[in-house]
Amino acid sequence: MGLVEKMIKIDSRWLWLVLLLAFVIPVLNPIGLPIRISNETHVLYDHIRALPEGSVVAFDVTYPYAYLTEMEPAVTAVTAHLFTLPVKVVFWSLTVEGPLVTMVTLEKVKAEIEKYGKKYGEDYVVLGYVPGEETAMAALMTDTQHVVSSDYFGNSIDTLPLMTKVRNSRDMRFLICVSVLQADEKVRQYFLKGGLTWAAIVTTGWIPGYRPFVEAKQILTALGGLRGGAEYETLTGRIARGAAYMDVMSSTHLTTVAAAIVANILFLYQRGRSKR
Amino acid sequence: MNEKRLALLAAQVFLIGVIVLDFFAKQETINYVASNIRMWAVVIAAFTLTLGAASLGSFHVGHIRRRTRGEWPFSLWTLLCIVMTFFFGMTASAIPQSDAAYKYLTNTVLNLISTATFGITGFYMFSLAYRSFVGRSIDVALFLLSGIFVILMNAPSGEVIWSGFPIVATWILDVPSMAGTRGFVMGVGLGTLATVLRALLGKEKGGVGGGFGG
Repeated sequence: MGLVEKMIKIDSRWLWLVLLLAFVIPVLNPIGLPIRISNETHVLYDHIRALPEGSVVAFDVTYPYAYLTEMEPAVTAVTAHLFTLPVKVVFWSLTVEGPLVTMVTLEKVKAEIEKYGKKYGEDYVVLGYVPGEETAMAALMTDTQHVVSSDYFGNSIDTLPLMTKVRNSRDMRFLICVSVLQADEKVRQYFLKGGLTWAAIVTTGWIPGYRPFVEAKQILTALGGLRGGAEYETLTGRIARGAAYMDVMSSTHLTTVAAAIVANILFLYQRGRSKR
Repeated sequence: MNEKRLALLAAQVFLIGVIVLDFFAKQETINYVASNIRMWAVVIAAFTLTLGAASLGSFHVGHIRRRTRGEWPFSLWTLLCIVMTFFFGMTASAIPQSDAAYKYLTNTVLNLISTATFGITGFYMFSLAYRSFVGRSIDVALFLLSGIFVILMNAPSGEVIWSGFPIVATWILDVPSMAGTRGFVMGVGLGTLATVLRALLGKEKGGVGGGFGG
């Protein structure tokens, strides 16, 4: 078997080793390439910064643990930014794991909570898991106070001063939805039913699915996963995991492209030889 | 169709009708009824979780009772994990040790297992890129090229190599990709509309045991 055939039929484990090295090397030797801030991230940052004092921001954190590495940097960067401003935040989740990943984020923004004196119940609330998916979204838009009788920690909703002011979507100024699924039902409920201006934080793969809605002005903007998180961190100056992972993203993406190019060269060479 | 199914079908038409009307009408009674229907739906959805847990439990208890070969030890482990997580979760607010154990289970075990399992797909995608991302035809070549541009748009290194990568990739996302997605979204929208119309006219009998599409 010639070298070309050997390379074409290479054992997958060698390929995995190459990718593993592409992961490990930038972690050990970070390069810190500059990150260009996209227009989408600028739009979200500017909108949040311009929120009037006392505005209620709803934060739908609906993603499972499996996506933590990709989604958490953006969610944390945006949450940290919100906590530096005089706004109130109401978190809810439409998946069972949602409250758990919300708690991961809240642990990471402890410094902002302490520095800006944010009080639980007055400045932010975690409603926890609301079952029912699209029905739950609709119910949260029309009867926020009645959908859940207690928050994630078991406190009665009536005992939380912030929740006495949030009856429905009319009492909310802005909504941020973290999702790993399509936009349709969120547009139907948050934009059409709730009449809210809202932004999405989604996996990079879902960005093409959200863009038509952004273009139609039914979504303010859509931030794409880890890259979006890195951009938001750069904008706020709170550099954390998102920006740190950009080197890993660069090396793994470049390795994937290189693998595709090598595969194509081998394919063309083999086709040319078989024609001869 | 028997009377029981007819009553269920009538209830289904009524419920869907109220929810659809509520979307367009600002009428107090309709809005109130629709709001209550949504509350029931949320409660029923919460109940289905309990039902799911019970069903999962009975499935695994069955395996343990029958000592199904190659299954029952895993069933026992699954049940143990469910009971343990349930116990720590329920007592977390009352017992500090339970809270610590629950946090350990979620943040250390569940988090790492989920992330690692999901991360493994990256390795398969990489070998897939090597084996299948080959321009055997014009279609595949176009797919390959757009893939490369979009991949390099996301990575900061792409822009360092050539500043045109983000420009071309943004065009790909804004023009051909958006055109395709719009068509898909409109297709889904029309399909949903047709299903709602069928349900409102009582032709959608799948939900009342009439078989798919009635």
